[in-house]
Amino acid sequence: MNIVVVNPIKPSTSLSSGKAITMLMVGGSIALTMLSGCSQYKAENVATIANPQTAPMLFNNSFDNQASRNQGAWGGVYMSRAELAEPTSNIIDVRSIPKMSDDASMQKWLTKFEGSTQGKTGFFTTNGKKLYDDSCAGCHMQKGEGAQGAGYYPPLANNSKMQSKYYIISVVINGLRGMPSFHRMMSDEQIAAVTQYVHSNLNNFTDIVTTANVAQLRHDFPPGSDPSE
Amino acid sequence: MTVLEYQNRGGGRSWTLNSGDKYTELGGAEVTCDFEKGNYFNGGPWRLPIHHYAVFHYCKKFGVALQPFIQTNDRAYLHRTNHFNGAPQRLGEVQNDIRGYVSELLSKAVNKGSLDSTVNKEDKEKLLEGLKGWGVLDTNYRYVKSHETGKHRGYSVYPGGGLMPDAKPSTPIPMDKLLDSGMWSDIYTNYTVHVHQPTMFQPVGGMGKIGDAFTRECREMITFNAKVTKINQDETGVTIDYVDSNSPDNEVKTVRADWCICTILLSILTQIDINVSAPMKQAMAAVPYDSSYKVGLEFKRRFWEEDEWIYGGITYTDLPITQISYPSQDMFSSGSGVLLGAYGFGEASYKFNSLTPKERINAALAYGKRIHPQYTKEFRSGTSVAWHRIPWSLGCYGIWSESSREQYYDTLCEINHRIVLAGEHCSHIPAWQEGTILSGMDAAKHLHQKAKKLG
Repeated sequence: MNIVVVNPIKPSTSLSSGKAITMLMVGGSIALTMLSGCSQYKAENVATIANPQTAPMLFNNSFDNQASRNQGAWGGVYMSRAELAEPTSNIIDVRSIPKMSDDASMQKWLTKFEGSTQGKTGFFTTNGKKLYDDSCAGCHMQKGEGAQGAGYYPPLANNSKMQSKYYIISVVINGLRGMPSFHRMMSDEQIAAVTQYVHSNLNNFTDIVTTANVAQLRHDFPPGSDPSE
Repeated sequence: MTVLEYQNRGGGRSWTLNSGDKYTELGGAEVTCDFEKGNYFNGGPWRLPIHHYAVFHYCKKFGVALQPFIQTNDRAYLHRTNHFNGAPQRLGEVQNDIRGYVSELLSKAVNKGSLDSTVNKEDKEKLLEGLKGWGVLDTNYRYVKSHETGKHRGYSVYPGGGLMPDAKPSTPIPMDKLLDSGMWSDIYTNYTVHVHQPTMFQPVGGMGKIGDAFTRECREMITFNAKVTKINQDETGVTIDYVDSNSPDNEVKTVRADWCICTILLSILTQIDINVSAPMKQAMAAVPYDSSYKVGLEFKRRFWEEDEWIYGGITYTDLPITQISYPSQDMFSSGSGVLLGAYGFGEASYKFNSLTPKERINAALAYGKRIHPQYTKEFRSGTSVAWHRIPWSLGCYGIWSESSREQYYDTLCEINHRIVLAGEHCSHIPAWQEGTILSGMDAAKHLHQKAKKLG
């Protein structure tokens, strides 16, 4: 019988009994455990999981940001004292992920979800088209064509109701029937911009929409949502 | 009793996407679910709070098997893009540290006599004793790393056996970093609220099992693919016109009954010809439908379990994906698993609505890999539900405010001659199935009373 080596670097449970070493087990089950929590150290996983890498140097009083993930996963106990004395490694190859702003594959999303590099969500742009694409388009569709299911979303393009900028502003501020209010999600400037886009770009109306137009219609609005999930 | 159902299945928003399912969303894009057999994704409701008695009543009655749903897992993460260099921190550690620091500060105030006008001498001693134990403070009432804090927030080297290394307590997060991160808010926003308290449950095999059970029990009453076009009541009854949902230009059929319980979502009902009172029509038009989206991501292996020792629970983040939820079922199994890779409301939700199904998956992967770098290598397939793009709902759930409730709620829920409305929108528990069932029970009760009175 081979003696099973409890080793986080290469967990193994092969219990072949070819060798003539005899062990006497007394009192209960054989506790030669496969450490399933340590699969990250299997050689097969190297492409995703870190080759053991050196954690950031800890200076006095500095806090190891990766410690929480690392320690909660294997807690060091499965390493020998000698191994523990060596520089620790991260269980996940965090270096494989570039900084958000340097990550080419992220750029599209950083534009769509502007503010996300700062951990913020919201509408921050004052570009009318982008505001339209990021909010109205979800229901009224990209080109303002609307949609028809069990009910319908009215088209916003080529719609004579869009002639009145005040109508558009009012609907954006207050919502209309099933449509939620954008009162709290957009500033006066943003509502003016998205109104202008719907009024002029999706239709060919030529009024100029100003922030003052929006301010004029904005009013104290009762809280409009329940935090239900 | 006749039930007219718009779809070809019962259950409505209580809906599970299984391997091989697909649907067409508004705008024409097809959403597929190409998971391995046995994997599923709850696009709508996904967890049942312990006090949702009516849901459990019917689950038990109809034999819907339930299993625990893990909302709170101390090993799941809290994540803030610009804190801890983007490294997620485990919930249990954050929670212990908050308790520790709050206890330390409060005991300082007590010891300084700052609370002498509110706390008498005897209570002061008990308070200090409690704070010391609850916050795991040292003899000087300070929250600092010790063997004791290790017992609570965990270890950097866990206690072992034989000649394994000695246990070492983990290091608390410095208070300023902790406060600065804002993670505290996750505790009271997402964990201590009564709807998230343990034990929560989920149906085995997906939330759709509840709708399936109702459908099975009521099968003989249901007409599927029936799109209601007109609801007309008169002195003696209610006549409903409907067409085939799939070919609306075909002949109009009618069905007549003494009473009508209408559960059509208000986002759609407001567009249907229905002769109820003017105040009721106003009430129907006063309930906007919230935006929400979910993305399900299937991975080749359960790396959150195998690498990071996360079994169930939810990671909350300030990224646009809002949260990542780990499956509460099939733990410790090898092979693939499905994460809820994004689920949120608000502005990010409107942005997700406007993405194509493929883009939704890509966005969820791009942001989620900030927390789990394994995403890139392990991704297998994905699916999504953007509720405003669902043809039969046009939104997620009815939004009420205090003022709209005061003005419209009772009118919406009252019987209007021979018609009464029911659904989550007619409840004080919006978006939850419990609200739907309680609303239905209440509508049936009042209808019964009225019918009895009329003889």
